[in-house]
Amino acid sequence: MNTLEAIKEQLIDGQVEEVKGLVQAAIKEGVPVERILKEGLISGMEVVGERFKQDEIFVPEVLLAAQAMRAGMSLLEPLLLGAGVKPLGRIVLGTVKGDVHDIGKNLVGTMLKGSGFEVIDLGVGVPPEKFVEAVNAGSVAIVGMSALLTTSMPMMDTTIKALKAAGVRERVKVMIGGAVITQDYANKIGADGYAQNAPTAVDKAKELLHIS
Amino acid sequence: MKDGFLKRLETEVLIHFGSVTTELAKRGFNLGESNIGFMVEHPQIFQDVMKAFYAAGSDVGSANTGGANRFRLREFGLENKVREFNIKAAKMAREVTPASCYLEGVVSTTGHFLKPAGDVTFDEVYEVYKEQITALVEGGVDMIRVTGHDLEEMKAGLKAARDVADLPVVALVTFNPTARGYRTMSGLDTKTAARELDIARADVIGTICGKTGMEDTTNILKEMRSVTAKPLLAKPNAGTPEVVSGQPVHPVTPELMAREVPSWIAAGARIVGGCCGTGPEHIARIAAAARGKTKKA
Repeated sequence: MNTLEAIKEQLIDGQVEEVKGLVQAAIKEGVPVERILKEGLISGMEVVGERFKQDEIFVPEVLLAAQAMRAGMSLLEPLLLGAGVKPLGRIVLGTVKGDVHDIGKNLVGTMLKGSGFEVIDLGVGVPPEKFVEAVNAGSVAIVGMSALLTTSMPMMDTTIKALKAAGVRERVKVMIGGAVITQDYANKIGADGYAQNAPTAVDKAKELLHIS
Repeated sequence: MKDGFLKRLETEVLIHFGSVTTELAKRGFNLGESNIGFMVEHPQIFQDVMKAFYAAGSDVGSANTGGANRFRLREFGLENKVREFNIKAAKMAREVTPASCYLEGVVSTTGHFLKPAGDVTFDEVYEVYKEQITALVEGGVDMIRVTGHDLEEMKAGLKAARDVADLPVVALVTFNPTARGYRTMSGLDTKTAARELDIARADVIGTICGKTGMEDTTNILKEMRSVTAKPLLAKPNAGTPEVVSGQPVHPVTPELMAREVPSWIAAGARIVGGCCGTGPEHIARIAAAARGKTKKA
């Protein structure tokens, strides 16, 4: 098994130290950083996402794989800029105002980062103004909103309206998700996308940005 | 008290509560806020809700303290109120609990995953539960319920309950239907859960909330019964809510819930109730279905 395949396998297994060692070895071997990122780390997270979607693994396994991913990324990050490797896009995530649930949002952030996106996580209880501020800060491709409670859903509508009022709605794609969210609701409030789980959110994000 | 309660389960079916939080939300509580914070600020409303459930036929009442552990209260800046809030809630609940009924102090998931997947250790979680259970016992509860999705986290709760007091302990697990059977978000399956919680000396084991429907609950109980002889408990929610005129509406009616109760009992349930969306009317129908006669409110 070559180093890149080994990185992929160890990442899938959530082996943090092994992934660090192998990424270090790959860098030393002179493997291009873009290949380490894509064929080692990202392709490993893709398998993790697929297995999670199929209920073959669950949240703890995804969290472990994400730790291995982060460990590998921490070694690659200083080298990526120099190698001209850019994130697929910048995504701003948050649980809307009035809601503190974040496990789903965190999983989405994990999978998006694992696929090569840059993720800015605004946290929980995020008011519309903060989403607008994040978009105004520049270069945001997608705004992702999460809510677990039905009573928090109207805040997604309010936030989209706030983006419109601030004149920045057209700059971004808006995605929503959460246990009580539906495609119908996404259509109703004019969101660009809805995803039922974290791996599907990655697919949808890529689809919205025309990334294969 | 303890032996009496467990002895009754050998021959009787007891009725649990519905959802105190859902009822509070109909009376001014904002679901995104701390429910125990609201209960402590509005004791009359909290007590009225509890009285309504007892009047509907509940034998086992919940002090609704599931969110009142240190980790969860920290989300609202209330982590220094653990002791005060749990004692207050238990005392308020005790005041309105009839002498013939039992009061449950509840501890629920911390919202954190245990290491290595997450950021907390078994010992840290144990201390958090010990702090909360100590206060609940001081407040006068008759039993401790541990609700969760992660086996190790639940074992920490069970151990804390056993170490702090000699009260009955109920262990309820939140399952969802998946391509590989009923699993918690952490991947725990029904049989492993029932087997391990039995070994960890839970007195009552059961299923609560999740994306499981009425029939799913029956299936889960059967699977649990195949590996444990402990009395079982069924506490499903009334379905995923939709927003109608700004209010969450749960699709499972009192009739629909009551219809499945005989199946739960046949599958081994000795305590039946409901979670999110389950109101006093549901409990009244459930009680009637369990006892074969109408209970006057």
